[in-house]
Amino acid sequence: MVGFRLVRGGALLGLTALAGCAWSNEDNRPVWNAFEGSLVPSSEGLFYAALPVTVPLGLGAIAVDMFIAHPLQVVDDAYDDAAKLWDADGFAFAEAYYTEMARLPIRAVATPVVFGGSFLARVLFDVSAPVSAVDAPEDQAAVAQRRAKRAERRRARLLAWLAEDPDGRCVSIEAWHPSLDEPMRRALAGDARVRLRLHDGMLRAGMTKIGGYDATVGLRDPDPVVRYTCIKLWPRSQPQPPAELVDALRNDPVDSVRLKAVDRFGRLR
Amino acid sequence: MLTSCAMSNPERRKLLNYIDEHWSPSTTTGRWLASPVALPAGVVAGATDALVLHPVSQFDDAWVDTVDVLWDFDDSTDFRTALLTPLLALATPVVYAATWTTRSLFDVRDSNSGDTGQTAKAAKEGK
Repeated sequence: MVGFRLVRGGALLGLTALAGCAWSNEDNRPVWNAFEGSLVPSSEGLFYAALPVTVPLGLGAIAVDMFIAHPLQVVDDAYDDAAKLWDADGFAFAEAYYTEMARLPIRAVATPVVFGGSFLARVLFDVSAPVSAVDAPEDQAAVAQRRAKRAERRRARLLAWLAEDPDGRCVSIEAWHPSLDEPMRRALAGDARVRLRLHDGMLRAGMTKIGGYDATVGLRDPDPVVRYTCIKLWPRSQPQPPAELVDALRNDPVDSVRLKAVDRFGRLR
Repeated sequence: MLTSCAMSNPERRKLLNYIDEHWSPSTTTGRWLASPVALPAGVVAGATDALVLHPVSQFDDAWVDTVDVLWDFDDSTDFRTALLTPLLALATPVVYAATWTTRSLFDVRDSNSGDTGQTAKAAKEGK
């Protein structure tokens, strides 16, 4: 009895862990996105103060996404997969009448099996929508609309982050928007603390140049702490800064900046 | 379900192919009218192909496979042949049953029946 319970618990745990695969795609966690976008404070102090409330709520949002919201999202895709078995193009009654007739019961039996298998796979793993579904113009429009909404959500979070005196975590964006120009200009013109936090957040999010932001400004910053931070956080996935700037940093009057530049960008050739 | 692997190859559906070719109504109306009879007829024909005709057609191929696997003594010494013969005799029905079952269920390429592997060996040796 105990063994059975252990196996059952392990199986449930395993299934829950597998759901992480689907959960890794942002589109598959609508409740979490809404929760994170509107209820998690962005300023550092409030963020930590609210953790006792946001952590259990966040776990609840994950559970709702995994067991309710995402399964509801994929029901129609699983239906499309099963419906492919009955696609009119798949029948050849004129050429092989009895063969097709013999296949009808097999298709009937396979339909719930395909639906169940597809549904389970789509609930657990990040499976893209059926090609036929995405091919339809209205579905392409729906996908584009979903992407636009996601971009808008991320932009709003970045805007809020800039407006509240940039601090702590920053969200990366794929495309710039004119509404970010003024807050970014203000942050770049702020005092050393604001500039440091701005570059820290942007570089940690992997952004070196986008719209009105250019991380090389941080490498030229009059404050050595800002320069040092920008060198330290310069993303390895991004190209190195311009050669003359790297050379200037290698000859920086401040020892720690100079040594960090050599450490991060290599010695002068 | 597994049988469908073999049945997915049209060449394995002798009876279905025959009735498709000779008994199919030529018009759409005729096909609709015939469907109450055609559906059970198609299922019976498909089952006959899967459970009788195709498995029977694999008897000789399974035997060729068995001879190839077990009874090829070309590279063996007389002593080794004498030693192995009783064991091979015991293994023969097992290997035959396994290859026949595999061939009945899955779409395995036909052996060159009656050849007992000599042609393949000659090709390998460049003859």
